[in-house]
Amino acid sequence: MAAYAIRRLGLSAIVVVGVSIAVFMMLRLVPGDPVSVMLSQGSTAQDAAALKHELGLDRSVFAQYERYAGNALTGDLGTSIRLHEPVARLIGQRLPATLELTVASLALATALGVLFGTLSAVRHGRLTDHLVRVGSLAGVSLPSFWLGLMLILLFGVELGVLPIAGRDGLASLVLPAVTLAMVPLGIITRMVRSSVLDALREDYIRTARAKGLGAARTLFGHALRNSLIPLVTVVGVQFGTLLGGAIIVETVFAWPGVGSLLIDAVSARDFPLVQGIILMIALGFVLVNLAVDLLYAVLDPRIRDSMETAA
Amino acid sequence: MRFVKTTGAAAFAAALAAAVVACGSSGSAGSAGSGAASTESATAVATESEGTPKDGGSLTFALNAGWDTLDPAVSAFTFARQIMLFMFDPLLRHDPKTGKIVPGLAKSYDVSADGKTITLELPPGVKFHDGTDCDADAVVASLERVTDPDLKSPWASLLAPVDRISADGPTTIKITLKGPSAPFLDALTQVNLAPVSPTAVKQEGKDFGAHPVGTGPFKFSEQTAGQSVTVVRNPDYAWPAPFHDATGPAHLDKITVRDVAEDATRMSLLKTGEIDIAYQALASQLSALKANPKFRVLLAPRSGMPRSLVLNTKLFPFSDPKLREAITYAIDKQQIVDTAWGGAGSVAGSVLTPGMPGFSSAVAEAAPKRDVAKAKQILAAAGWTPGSGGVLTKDGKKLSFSFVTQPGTTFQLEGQLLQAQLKEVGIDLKIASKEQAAVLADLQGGKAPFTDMLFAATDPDVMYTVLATDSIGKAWNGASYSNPEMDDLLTRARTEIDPDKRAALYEQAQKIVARDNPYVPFYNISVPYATTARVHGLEFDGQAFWDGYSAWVD
Repeated sequence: MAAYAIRRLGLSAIVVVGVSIAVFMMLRLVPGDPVSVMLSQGSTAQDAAALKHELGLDRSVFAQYERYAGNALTGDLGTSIRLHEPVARLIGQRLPATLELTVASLALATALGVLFGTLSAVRHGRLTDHLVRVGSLAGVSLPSFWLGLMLILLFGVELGVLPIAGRDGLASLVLPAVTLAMVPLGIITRMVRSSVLDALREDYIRTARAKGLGAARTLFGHALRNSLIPLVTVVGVQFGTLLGGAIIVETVFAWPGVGSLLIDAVSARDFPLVQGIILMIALGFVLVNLAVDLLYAVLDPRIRDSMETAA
Repeated sequence: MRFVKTTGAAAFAAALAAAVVACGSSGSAGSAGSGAASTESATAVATESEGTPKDGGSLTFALNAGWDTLDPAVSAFTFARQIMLFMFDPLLRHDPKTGKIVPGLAKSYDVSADGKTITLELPPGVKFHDGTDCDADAVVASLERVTDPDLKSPWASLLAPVDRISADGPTTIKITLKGPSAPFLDALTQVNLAPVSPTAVKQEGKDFGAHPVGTGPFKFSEQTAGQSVTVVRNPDYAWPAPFHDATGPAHLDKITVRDVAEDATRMSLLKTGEIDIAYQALASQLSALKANPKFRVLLAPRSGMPRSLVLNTKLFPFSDPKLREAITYAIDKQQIVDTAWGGAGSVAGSVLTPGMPGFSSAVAEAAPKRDVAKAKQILAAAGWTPGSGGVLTKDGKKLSFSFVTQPGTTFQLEGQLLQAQLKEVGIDLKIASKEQAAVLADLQGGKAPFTDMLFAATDPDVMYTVLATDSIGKAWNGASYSNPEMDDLLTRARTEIDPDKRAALYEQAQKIVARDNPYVPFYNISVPYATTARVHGLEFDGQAFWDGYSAWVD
């Protein structure tokens, strides 16, 4: 188990370094640079060159990366070119809002997903099942941008029951969290449905029924419990996806998180800030996946055993 | 000096005020011609119908982008300037009604005959929000702080003409220049050079921007990163700029500024009354808002260089001046302004907006109107003959090139209209959509054959920025225009302190632009503000910003 954990940790580190290199190079390959965006009236070509030098952008890409990676290892993510503040501090200011949004969405998606998925499996082939299947398909397919604006119009403008934008108390969390929860809700519902359906066909369920266990006991005590193991993986992966989805949802709802910060940073070619945010998202994604893999082993003794033999 | 997201290619914040105030919902700033006269009369109407100002109440104002820091000397963001205008008093101002430079916090100013010494006189008893005296020493310290190399202020260049700044008595400041500089008074109208509390600067150091302390009509209250800033009335305010024609503190108790980037969300917030003022209202909703008595639409003209087509004089096909001339007849400016830009603003004729010092109405009025036959005739005379598919050709080369623009409804619509208009004269226009930073890179690199830009400014020296040979390459002369005669005129205009003589130089320069057509100005932009009916007394400067002093709510 320990050896497995160490190996997974090593792989995770490689992924994070890979992402940091990719982002660094991509930013410098796309047209446009921070100097163009920062040039003021009266700027001459000399001013531009001086600014470029000051930002260290006149060095080779490799020299730039070397310096960046060296600093990042000591926890220094650099200073935002546009906001003149340390990247780590800027992310720190915005991260709580993003975490609040993603965690709320994921909790909502998981709770409702398990409920709808189970309901759908138990009522297999009936109206409830069909409704849930259509609903989950819609959840996965609706663009969050559009959905967010529709929810704003309905609950904010027409009904006037919920605040539309900004982060100000629990009520303001409802619309963005629901919007962001839609895709994972659809995915989790479908996953739970099929895995409960599978479980219901297993021999041990037939045995349980033959023993005279009631329908509820059979479902909750046996079928659901076993089908929830794969759920851990799906929820873990969804968490990473949510960090990405939050970028759009935060903009629609003026939610002061990392996502809206990232959008501004990209359009201003604020290299250090973009790098810092992407690195943070990658790190979050990798850590959650690592936790999921380890948790998986804890939950399912068969996996744990196979790991030990493999390691 | 950053650009404003929604206005695209190069909307720049170079200076405050010049052209006039917005009109009320009854105004029709969409009409053609030079907008100054029509907007001014509309302002008068709006003021009369607004009634007597009431004290108290608060309002919420949503911008469409964020801000960096609220330290005037450090901030480089356009919208930070709007917020700082509530809390800091620029030494000089532009009168919102006439666009002229007038006293601001300084109750009077004097320029010596040789143009090299500027004397500012503060009113007595001015205090910063923390109780510190705002005397001549504090003003000198604030200006010197901007030039402190450690601060790396993006505004230090504004003080480049300065040789020495000194206090001459408790309320008198003397600024000695290295030589006469015509744009320097305009620099003093910038909120970025406004006095900051020396006590707070000392206490807060680099964090001054998080706890800003000025002399303005409102005091900083709180801010949430990425979300909002709240300012509250300064009860001790007794030094409003003379053009306000009022004394004592501002009317409003509180102003909350929010960052709501998504246009549709901002409009929804206005409809529910969660905000009272929406900056940059959606063009597609303007007419519905105007028709609804619960809302008002105010159009705030932004001065500088109008939105203009950029015809790159070094690239095919616009290296041929005849082609540039043909474009001026081929396009329908009115259609683009009305259809793509929702009619907010007016059709432009000169490379300076109406109301700018030196603006030539003669040049603006003489600007070509659409004349397809004439455009075709010019092209035929230049040797272009109709080829396959109606596209003109010459020496086997097709008259086909790209319009470099951004994604987004407005820009795409503008591109499509140009495409249709140019097709009628036999030009095949392609639309190359790129993201904003990439468009800028093309523009500054002189790589875009055909694009558009605007440049916000309140001093005509903006012409140097976009037309001087010095400004080619990694700077703002996107047309790569180089003409020694133009360079000479614009350089002389910088040091000519007699306003009439200076205006004459710019008149000549505008004529040359109209002859050579490196830029084809087409749209004097106005920023559409949508407000709820309870909001009154907004006075906009040439940057389309308001200082909060005269605003009040029902």
